[in-house]
Amino acid sequence: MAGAYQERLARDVVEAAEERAAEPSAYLDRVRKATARVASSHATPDDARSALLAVEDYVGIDVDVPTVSRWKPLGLLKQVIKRLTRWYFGYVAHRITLLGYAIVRFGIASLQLTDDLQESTQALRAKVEDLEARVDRLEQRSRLS
Amino acid sequence: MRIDQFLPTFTADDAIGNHVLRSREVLQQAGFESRIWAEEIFGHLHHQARSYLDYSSGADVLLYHASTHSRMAEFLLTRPEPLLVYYHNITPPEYFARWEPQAAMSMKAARVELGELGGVTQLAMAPSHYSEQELINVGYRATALTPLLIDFADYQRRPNSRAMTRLRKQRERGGAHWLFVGRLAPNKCQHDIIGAFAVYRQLFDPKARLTLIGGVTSDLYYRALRRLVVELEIEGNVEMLGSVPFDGLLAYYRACDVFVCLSEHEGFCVPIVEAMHFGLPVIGYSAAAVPEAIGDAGLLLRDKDPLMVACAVDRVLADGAVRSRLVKAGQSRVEQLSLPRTSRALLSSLSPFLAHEQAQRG
Repeated sequence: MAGAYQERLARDVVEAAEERAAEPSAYLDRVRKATARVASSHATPDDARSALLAVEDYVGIDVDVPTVSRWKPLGLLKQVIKRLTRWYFGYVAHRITLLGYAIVRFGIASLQLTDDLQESTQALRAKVEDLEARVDRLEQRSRLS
Repeated sequence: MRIDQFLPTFTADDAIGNHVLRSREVLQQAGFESRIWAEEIFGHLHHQARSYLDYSSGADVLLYHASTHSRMAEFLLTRPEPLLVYYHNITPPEYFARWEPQAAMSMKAARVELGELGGVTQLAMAPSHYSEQELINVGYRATALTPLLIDFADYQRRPNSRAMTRLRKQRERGGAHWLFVGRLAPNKCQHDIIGAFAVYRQLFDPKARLTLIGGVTSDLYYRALRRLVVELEIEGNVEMLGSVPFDGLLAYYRACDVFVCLSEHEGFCVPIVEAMHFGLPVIGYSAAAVPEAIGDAGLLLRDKDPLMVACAVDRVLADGAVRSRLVKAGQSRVEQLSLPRTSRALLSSLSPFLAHEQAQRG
């Protein structure tokens, strides 16, 4: 579909971006990370981090209930109910939101702990394998001598 | 002969609603009778259509506009009249699973309905090869590429004067003005536009501004976008306007400098062509039907890393020759999609089927 001019233009852009990419940029890294967090729409079911992000998305309880109605009196009634109950639902929503964020924080800390444990287990496994190989070598040597 | 159109949601100033209205005009001008039936009718369109539940008989052919889950599909499956489908595409549910699980379920159901209708549909039309291929994949046998009907005369209306004045004042202060028009939805990837815009401001143009126009499909996604804008420290430079009246939209098309579309799923994407009509250079991400909408009249990117997109916008806006070449190509693209041409294409897609129908009726 793209014509030769478009292809050439796209190549120029790739080159310009590659040149710019050579210069390290903390802001660019920040942007990439932040947009990737919002983009995680294709997360797999076993991706614990994405699952936690989904919890975080739902944590903020919105008490700003829509009051628009095609029938005007109903819209007014909704506005009155909203004003009368705002203090109550606002308080409850705030408490639930705080609880939600605490759960997310707990989840992130647990995940971090699991990651650290996994890392140290892998390091230990490598050490054990190393030691086993050394023992094998020593055994072979003692048999030969 | 009477060809009646059925659609789940009939809304004014919406690509599907406009296409249905234009299709009725084309069919009537060609000598057919045609009525519109919908599940939900909004705005001033109540006198243009009726609830499909009131339909009992009278039409010789039914034309269904498939785009979302609707009980109407089940109704159409039981009808004895020959059925045609125009497929506007259905967003893949994966995009909504995280943000709106219920909407994702509805999209899944819509895809199942589309497959079921395939068994009884005589001819299915789609505005892009991308959508046509999806129809073939779910078992449709007779398909035809049939462009959307867009009446560019509508865009000659006067833009909102207050918005124009405000935008002109902004323009005088300098800085490029980015625009994207489309519902705030995860498949349209407004987060990528915000990211690319933030990098563009940092590297090339600290006075740049971004406007996102389109109603909110997912409130959670909208809130995530707001958080992203705050996190990237560009609050004063990004506006998310939601749905705007048509004259307001015209003002933005006239006042902005570049149209950036990083959407990952589109059945066609009418705003791309609208932007071209208003002389805006278009930069798009090569996914789904976006390359077909752009044709050879915009800059297509295979990678939408924020740095890449920022460099692309800089290239197009900083180089006058590139910009004017893209704008000129955009005008030709609009000409290809002019109403007389697309109207002829619609009739030519329908003619073999209608000729066969008329022959059978003697």
